[in-house]
Order: sequence, then C-alpha cells, then structure tokens
Amino acid sequence: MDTLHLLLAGLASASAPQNLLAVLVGVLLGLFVGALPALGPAAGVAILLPTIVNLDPTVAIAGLAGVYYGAMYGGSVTSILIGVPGDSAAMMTVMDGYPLAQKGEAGRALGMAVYASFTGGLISLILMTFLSTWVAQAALAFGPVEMTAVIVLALCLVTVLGGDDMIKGFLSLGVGLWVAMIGLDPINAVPRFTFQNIHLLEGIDFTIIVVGMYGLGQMFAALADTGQNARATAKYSMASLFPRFSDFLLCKWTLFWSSLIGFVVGVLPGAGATAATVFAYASAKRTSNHPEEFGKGAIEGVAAPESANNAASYAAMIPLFTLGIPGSGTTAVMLGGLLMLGLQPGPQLFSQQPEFIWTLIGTFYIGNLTLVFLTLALIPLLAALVFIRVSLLFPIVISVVFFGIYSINNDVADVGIGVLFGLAGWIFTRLRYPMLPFLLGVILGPLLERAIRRSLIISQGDVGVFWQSTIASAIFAVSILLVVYGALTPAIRWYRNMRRTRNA
Amino acid sequence: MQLAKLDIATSVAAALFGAYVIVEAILYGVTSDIGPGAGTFPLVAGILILVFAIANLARTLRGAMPDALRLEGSIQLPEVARVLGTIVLIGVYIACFDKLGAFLPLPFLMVGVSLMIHWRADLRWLATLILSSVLFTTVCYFVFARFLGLLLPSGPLGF
Repeated sequence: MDTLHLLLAGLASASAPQNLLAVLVGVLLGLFVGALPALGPAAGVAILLPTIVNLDPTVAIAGLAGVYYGAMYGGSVTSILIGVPGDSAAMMTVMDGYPLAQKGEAGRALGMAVYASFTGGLISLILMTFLSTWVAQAALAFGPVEMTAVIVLALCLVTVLGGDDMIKGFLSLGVGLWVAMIGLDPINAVPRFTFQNIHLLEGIDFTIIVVGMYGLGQMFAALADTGQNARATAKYSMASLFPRFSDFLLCKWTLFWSSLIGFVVGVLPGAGATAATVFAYASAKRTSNHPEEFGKGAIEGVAAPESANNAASYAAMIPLFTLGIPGSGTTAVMLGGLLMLGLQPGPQLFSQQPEFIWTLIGTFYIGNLTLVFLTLALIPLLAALVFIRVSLLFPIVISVVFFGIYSINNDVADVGIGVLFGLAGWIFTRLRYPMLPFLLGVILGPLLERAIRRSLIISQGDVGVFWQSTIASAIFAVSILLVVYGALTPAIRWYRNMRRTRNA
Repeated sequence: MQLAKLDIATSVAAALFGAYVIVEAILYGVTSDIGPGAGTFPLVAGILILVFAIANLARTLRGAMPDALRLEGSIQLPEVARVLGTIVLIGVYIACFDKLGAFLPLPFLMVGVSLMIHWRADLRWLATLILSSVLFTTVCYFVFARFLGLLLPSGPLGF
C-alpha cells in the first residue's frame, strides 16, 4: 500500500510541465535513434549524456530514460516496414514483421508492435515498482563484504552471459579495470598509470569514455559499409497503418509470457534486451498452435519480441537503481549520467531521495503511454529516417559528440581522449570484443577496489572475512558456478561436435 | 587486413600490455601495512589481460576457435581511410578551435567528414552538404552556446 502511495505521488510530480517536456523530448529523440540503423539506444543516450549536465536531475534522467525506451519502440518501425532493424533488440521483429508488411499487412504488424511494446513496458513497470522497493530494502543491509560479492557476481554475469565469447569478455573486463585505475589510488593516493601527466591524476571521466566508445566507436564501425543504407522493398499505404483489435485478443497470452520472459532476462546483468527477444520468440513459437507460420508473417512473431524487449529495457533499470549495478550497455551509460549529476545509485537512493526515484518511475509510466500515440503518429516519418545517408548523419553525430565531451570540463583535450576511445570502440566492434564488460570494469572497478580494501582494513587483513557472511558466500558461490559453466559449455559443445564428426 | 590476423596482432599487443601492467603493479606495491597495496588491483587487471590475451592468441593460432566466433572478412583500406581521415579532420578542427572559435570551422569539418565518408563530385550533393552543415552549425550555436551556456572560444567573427 505504501508503495502504491509513493507511486501515485511520483505520478503526480512526474506530471509537472518540465518533467513532461523532458519525457516528450526524450521519447521523441529515442524514437528517431531507434529508427536509425547506425545508432542504438546506448549510442543515443551516450551522445546526449553531456548535454544534461546543467539540468535538474529528475528532468535529465527522465529525458535519458525516455531516449532508452523510446528507441525500443522506434527500432520496430523500420524492422517491419523495410526489414532493417533500427537496433539489435529489434532484430527478431524483422522475422515476421517484414513478411507481414510485404503481404500488405504493415498496419497489423505496426499496431501489434506498438501494443506489445506498451504491454511489455506496463507489465515490467508494475513489477519494477514493487520489486525495486523490496530489493532496495534488502540491499540496505549489505556491508562492504556483500557489496563486493554483488559486484563480482555482476561482473561474472556480464562477462559470461553478455557475449558469446567469454575469453574476449574477460580480456575486455581486464582492460576496463585497468582504465578505472588510472589516477590516484583511492586509499594511499599513489599516482597509477598517469604517465606523469597532471590531467590524468583524477582519472578519465567515465562520460568521455562512454561517449567515445559508443558515440564515435559504433559510428566508425558503421563506416565498414560504404555508408549507404538499404532501400525499402515493401510498400504500404497510410490506410493500412491501423491495428486490428482481434490480433490483440489472439496474442494476449503471448504478450503476457513474453513480457515476463523479457522482465526476467532484463533484470539479469549482461543478458540484455536482444537475448530476451530471442527467448520470447522461441517460447512463442514453441507454444503456438501454428508454429509453421513463424518466419512467414505470424502476428505472434511480432508480439513476442516487441513485448520482451520493452519489458527488458525497464527491468534492466532495477539493478541500476537498487544496487548501482548496470545490467546493459545503455544502463551503464545512464549510470554515467547519474554520477555526473552527483547521484549515487544504490539502495540509499530509495531511502534518501525517494522523491527523485518515484518521480522518475512516474515518468516511465507516462513515457510508456506517450510512446503509443507518438509512434502511431510518426510512423511515416520514422520509416523515412532510414533513408538518411550516413554521410549526412555522422557529421551531425560528430558535432554533438564534440560539444558534448567539451562541455564536461570545458577542455578540448577531453575531445582527443574521446576520439581515442572512439578508435578503441571501433576495434572492439570489428574484432567482436564485447564492450559491456569493459564499461562495467571502468564503472565497477573502483567500487570493487574500495569495497575489498575497506573489508580487509576492517578485518585487519583477514581474507576469511569474505566467507563469514552467508549472503556473500552464496553470491560468491554463484559467481564461481557461472564462470565454470561459461568455461565448460564451449568445451562440452566442442566434444559433442568431435564425437558427431567421428561417428559420421 | 584480415580480421583474424588483426585479432592475433591485437592479442599479442594486449599480452605485452598485460605484462607491462603487472610490472608496474609490482612497482606500486602489492601489499601494505593496512592490507592490499596500490598495486594489488592493477596486478589483478594485468593478470586478466595477460592470461586472456594469451588464451585468445593460442586458440586463434591453433585454429581451435568455435565456428560461431571465428572472425571472417577483413578491414578494407577504404574503411581505414574513412576512419583515420575522420580522426585527422577532427584533429584539424581541434587545432583551429581556439583561434577560429567553435562555430566558424564547424561547417568545414562537417562537409569534410561527409565527403570522407561518401565522395561524390556532384554540385547538387555538395550544395546539400553545405546547406545542412550551415544549418546544423546554427542549431549547435543556439543549443550549446545560448541554451546550455557552454563556455566556448570566440573566433574572429565574434562567435
């Protein structure tokens, strides 16, 4: 009941004009970012990150979050109409959305995508509202030992589940941890890896790293192509852009279960919205009465991934706000935003700044509803966005990135550092090194170091302190199991393949 | 350059870098009177980098990389030229930043990057580029200099 009152109060303050404007601008930008094939939600949020420095924290984060979930809606439009997913989370929507559009049923698919996104978002938001309070209350009892265990688990989850290559994941994590250690040692104030450069004594601002890696890095990686986008083959009329109510009824269970799958997968650090769409699609196909239609234009094939990816996007914010641990690339970027605004996400945020957190959750509800109307109204415009040449788009991105990075410290040298990280992002993307472990290494590395060193100082150097807490021991055990699972799975797969080849 | 070869080169570079981090970490001091020293965590990071770089190198050289993870294709020269060309143009812009101001050289940077990405000797295309660059520079001026109040250097024209 208490949570309900807090939510209602949050909804009331979220309705303040400045918050509504932030949501509107955020979701609009998100829709465009989602529709543009060259930019994903993480890049979109990263590029806009430095522009929020001078804004009120609630307004700023409401806007950034709007970009995130707006992109989830926007990605489906181009997937359905022209078969080009706006971002990786919209990949599965192409499977059935595009065939539907080719059959002249684009309206059905788009209507379902919007409805499924709304349903997934709403179910996830309701779960988030009630679970967040509970998780935050439980986390309040965490000391440095338990926090160490949680951070280690998050790093293991992201590295093992976050990409398909665990070796590159750990290598990426190691480099991220190293970057986090540039600057003064937090306990002894010894300069580390500063190369006698006074600018590096305070370390490298996380925002510069994230904007460089995502904003510039992904843009550089997109230059592998000649820079020109695919062209549409599907034709649709304005009259076809209306959903059918009977489809909503037909897909009600698909929507419900896919939203739950999206929520569960989204909460897990590292799994992400794309994995959620794959699981939801597979589950919908398995439970369908006509699985043979999947891939040829089944309406459930649009409902499942769209509800899952939106549910996952909200669910990913639970570990961010309650534990201060981002579970996806976009929430990692958002964490940068929170830190930049002087907010330390974690359980204390719920007890010390309830107004901020509940207003923010209120804006999520408003944003989710706003997106239904905005997406339907802007479908033709969003579809047209895909034809913008990257040669026109990228100079704009570069300019925004430039001013954005410069605005952090009013220092042009930061732009140079951002470009270097852009170059690193390009190499990461082209060589398929996952970026998320790197970013989590940068964000969580200092927290982990402080937590471990504080624990050891309190215990006077006794390493056994980490096993004295039951919660910490259990979390450490799960982390070890995860790494063992990650290491054994490819080995078992390789052994099975060998046996199969030998038998053949 | 083949991506697989580039991956090998990157792994070698990462392994050497990992070794450097380990040496530096030992010099910072791995232990202290109050528990772990300034070098403990860099040591962990260095070991992670070194071990996994060698693991990646070993499996690539042995051909033990699973099919799904195998890097196919290559980075073509035009891609490298586009990326490095863009970086050089940003470098030139940074060099002009203090003397010419933030906004005067911006349209040149934008047109330069556009042409770097997609070269076309077409007057209509060039006109589109110039127009969009000038328009977006104006937008940047109002958003960053006026609305967000960013402290930016002024050029000879006063902006």
